[in-house]
Amino acid sequence: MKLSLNWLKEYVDIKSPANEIARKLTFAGLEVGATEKIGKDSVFEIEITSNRPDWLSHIGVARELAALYATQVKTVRVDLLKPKTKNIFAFSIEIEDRHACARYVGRLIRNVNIKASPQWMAQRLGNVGFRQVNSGADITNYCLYETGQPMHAFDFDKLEGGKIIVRRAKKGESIVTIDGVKRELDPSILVIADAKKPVAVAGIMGGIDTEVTQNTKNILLESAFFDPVTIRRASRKLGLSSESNYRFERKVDIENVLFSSQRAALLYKEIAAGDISEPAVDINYGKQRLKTIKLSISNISRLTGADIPAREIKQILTALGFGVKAAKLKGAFSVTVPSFRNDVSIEEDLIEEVVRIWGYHKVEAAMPVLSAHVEPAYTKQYTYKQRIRQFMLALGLDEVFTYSLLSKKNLEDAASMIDSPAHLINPLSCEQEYMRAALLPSFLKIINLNLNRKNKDIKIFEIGKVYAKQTKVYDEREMLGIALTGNRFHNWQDHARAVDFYDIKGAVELLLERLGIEKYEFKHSGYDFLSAAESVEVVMAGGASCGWFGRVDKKILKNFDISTDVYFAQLDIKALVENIKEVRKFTTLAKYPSSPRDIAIVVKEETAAEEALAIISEVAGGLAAKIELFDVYKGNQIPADHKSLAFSIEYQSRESTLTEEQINTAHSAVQDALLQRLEASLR
Amino acid sequence: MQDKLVQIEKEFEQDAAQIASVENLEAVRIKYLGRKDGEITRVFKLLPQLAVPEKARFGQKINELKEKISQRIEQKAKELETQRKQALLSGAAAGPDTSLPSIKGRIGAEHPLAIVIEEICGLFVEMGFRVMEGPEIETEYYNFEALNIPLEHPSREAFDTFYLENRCLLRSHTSPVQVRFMENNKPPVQIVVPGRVYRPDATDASHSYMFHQIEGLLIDKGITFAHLKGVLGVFAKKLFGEKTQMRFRPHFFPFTEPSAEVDVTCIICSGKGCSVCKQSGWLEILGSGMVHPNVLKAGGIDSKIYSGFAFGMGIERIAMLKYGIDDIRLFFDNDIRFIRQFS
Repeated sequence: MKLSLNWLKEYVDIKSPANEIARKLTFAGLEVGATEKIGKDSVFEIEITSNRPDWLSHIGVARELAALYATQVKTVRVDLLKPKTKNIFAFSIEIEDRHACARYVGRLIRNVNIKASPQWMAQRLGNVGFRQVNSGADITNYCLYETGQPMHAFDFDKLEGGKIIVRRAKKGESIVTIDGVKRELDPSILVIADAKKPVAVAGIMGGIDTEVTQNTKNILLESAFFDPVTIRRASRKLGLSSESNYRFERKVDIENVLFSSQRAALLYKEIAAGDISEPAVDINYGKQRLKTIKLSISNISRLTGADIPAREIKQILTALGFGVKAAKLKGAFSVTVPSFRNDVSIEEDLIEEVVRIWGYHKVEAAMPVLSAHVEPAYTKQYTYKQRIRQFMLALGLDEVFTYSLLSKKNLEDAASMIDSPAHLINPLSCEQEYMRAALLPSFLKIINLNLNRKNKDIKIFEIGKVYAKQTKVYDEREMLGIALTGNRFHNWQDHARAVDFYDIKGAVELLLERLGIEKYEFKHSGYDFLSAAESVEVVMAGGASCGWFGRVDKKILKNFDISTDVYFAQLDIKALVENIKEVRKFTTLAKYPSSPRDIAIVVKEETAAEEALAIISEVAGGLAAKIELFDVYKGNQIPADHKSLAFSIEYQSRESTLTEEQINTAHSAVQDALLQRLEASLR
Repeated sequence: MQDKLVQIEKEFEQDAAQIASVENLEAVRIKYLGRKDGEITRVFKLLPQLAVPEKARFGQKINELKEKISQRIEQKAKELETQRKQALLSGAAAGPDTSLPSIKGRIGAEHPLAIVIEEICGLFVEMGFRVMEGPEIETEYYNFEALNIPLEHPSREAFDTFYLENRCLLRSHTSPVQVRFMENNKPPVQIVVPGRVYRPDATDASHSYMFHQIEGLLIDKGITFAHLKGVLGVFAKKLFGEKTQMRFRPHFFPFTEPSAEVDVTCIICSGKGCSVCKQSGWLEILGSGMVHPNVLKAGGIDSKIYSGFAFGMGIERIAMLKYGIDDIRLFFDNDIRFIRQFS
């Protein structure tokens, strides 16, 4: 909001330069964004917080300056002549909805001469950004910026039946507002109507038919208090905002309604030669006693740590318009809250008022003395998440942060749509309508972006959430996602080779090992988004799945315009953490030498290497200290549909040095078992 | 025999004088000292033909010659080594090309937002705070009402919200975790809460509908606004440098009373004034205040006995200032060339 310094000075005596005033306002909570010099005036652009509708006026901000400069605001006098006629009105006001309109002051101003506003008023309005219309409209705008009360002037002679009815709009009614737009109304919207039709959308905008023009003779001036929620809803519903509803939504001062009407009347008399001798109609359902709050001086220091002298407390609150009396209790004040301060309802609110004006900068910083911790600084899950991140970084994976909102198409393209997805009722666009149920689509988007930018060899991970709708609540789970595409690590010595299934398998296996998860199984699975052959479920002891990994199906990749193979894993963090075995035990280092023996066998293509490894480990028993598969070969010298597997076995005993004979016996047993059970032959 | 030995020695001296490389040296060594067919081995083989006294005499002479040659060769080797060193040092000779790229594996790069989150949480953990997290899908109650934000109030406009069904929503700030934590933990409460939040802002260089915040909450007996200034002052100095100044401006937040916005001296220009701080020398980085009694009440804490402060900051903003990043969208594009710049 723009405020003119010259205008402010009408209500408070201050002589300081504009930049100092701007700084003081900023440090009182009225953040001055910019100060513009216009002629001899300075105009402040101030960001006004939603709790302070009283600051949306020059008188309100002048009050603040009075407190900051330890002075008082000047009273604006509105001495009207006693009305000549008594209780004889040329119009009537009916309020059908007292909740929505708690006060309405209507006043008839006769024989106005509407023309251009005088120079001084035009200047002030211009400086704060108002376009000049004519004195009929300019006066209400002027009062709006002076007192903060929105008012509306009707052309009285265009009001049917000389009536003002404050009521809900009827179904099917409409109005053309002064901006020339026809607006359909409904009973949720409060209107001002004459005997026949709505003439204004209450508190938001008047109708064009009853607008004051150069030809207007008689004005019906409205000053009212409308319910903030009613106005807010109507404004939202109609998609219509104005300076008026901005203030009504923030709650105007009900006691200011009559004052502002009187102030405007005087201006109509002065500027438009209006006859203001007829009495106003004031219907007020909102009379209430002012609140009184006890403010104890010790509570100020209890909350702020600052000792502010009683005298200063009283001065500050008084200048801000509060009534301050000594309370019965010693060391406390009884503070009466003025009607324009709806934001103040408890002692803490008063404390803020005092400290804010006194100066936050004067509160001396101190460190609290805190009790020692008994609880760990990090939760178990948080600790392990950090550890998992470190493993991933050590594996050479870059960390990404991806959007959790995606389009329906993204989810469907990645075969990641679920039966009950979490979806937004009010998305910004269909691109961000669904909360992802899997990390895969987010990752494929990232990979696509990087490939388009010629970034190859992408190895990325994220710990992020996936979401789903349950019957009544929503479920969100943290997942580790890993994606690999392009080449493995390479350089001028080690040449490029594409990543494959065994790389993603390795990443998952290493993670499980390092976390200390000992019991798990890799089972073949059949996810739509993975290739049928390279799709693995990670199953924990007990049979629960904690995620999956494999090669992303070609069709899915095509949907994301990716032409290289992508290997992907998604693991449930909570499930991983629950399966971690935290205690590790030491095993004595072997003292006796080990002897290696190699064996190469030819098996059928479909025989899993795992089976051979299991046989070796079973037959060699405790003597095989290490079993390693070091070669897989298909091709020349190997029959079709067969493959050769070569193992290196290290024989070692914990009790003694093995003799040549012992080793040979063990190794032959292994060889016999392999050949028999796998129907294998030696290579 | 004597002539033979003299002949060998003479020949060796001639050969030795010609040695110019390690290869030459090795050839000469083999010619004279080679075990199978070296000159020395050969003369040793002649010994059995000699008479006994001669045998002993020449045996000794041959050994002397062998020793002499060995020493000369060793000496020559040292000379060559010294020459080579000098040649390498002076650049006259080329060794392996050490300027070839090194062979190193890759350590992955942390996302800049993760770096900043971990750094900030770490600073507060040093001061005794615990790190807590909470759900992103929240209820209206925790996101608004429990935080003293009435349902139909303009103050909610600052927290525009994405809604799901059943009056659930995507949290618009990390503050709901305050009340969730208070409900289950008695004071003293001392937590920081990092997390993802959502607001329906159209995306541009400085806005994103998804971003990250860190929330802090400290509640105990006798906690004051002075303590808020103290703790945040230490934090700012640790994060932005020892010389960082702070200033507190009154502001309005529904969940704190009194409330303050916090500025730090501009980290780009150290307070002199630049385009980033719009010539003011200050950057706004935090919202803070004393926890509103209604919020304490929602958390089951008696505001007559306990008081506390809360603060919150946007991680993207801090990361952008810290690294000089000019577009918030870069964080979520995840171009790996971007991510790799910060580790």
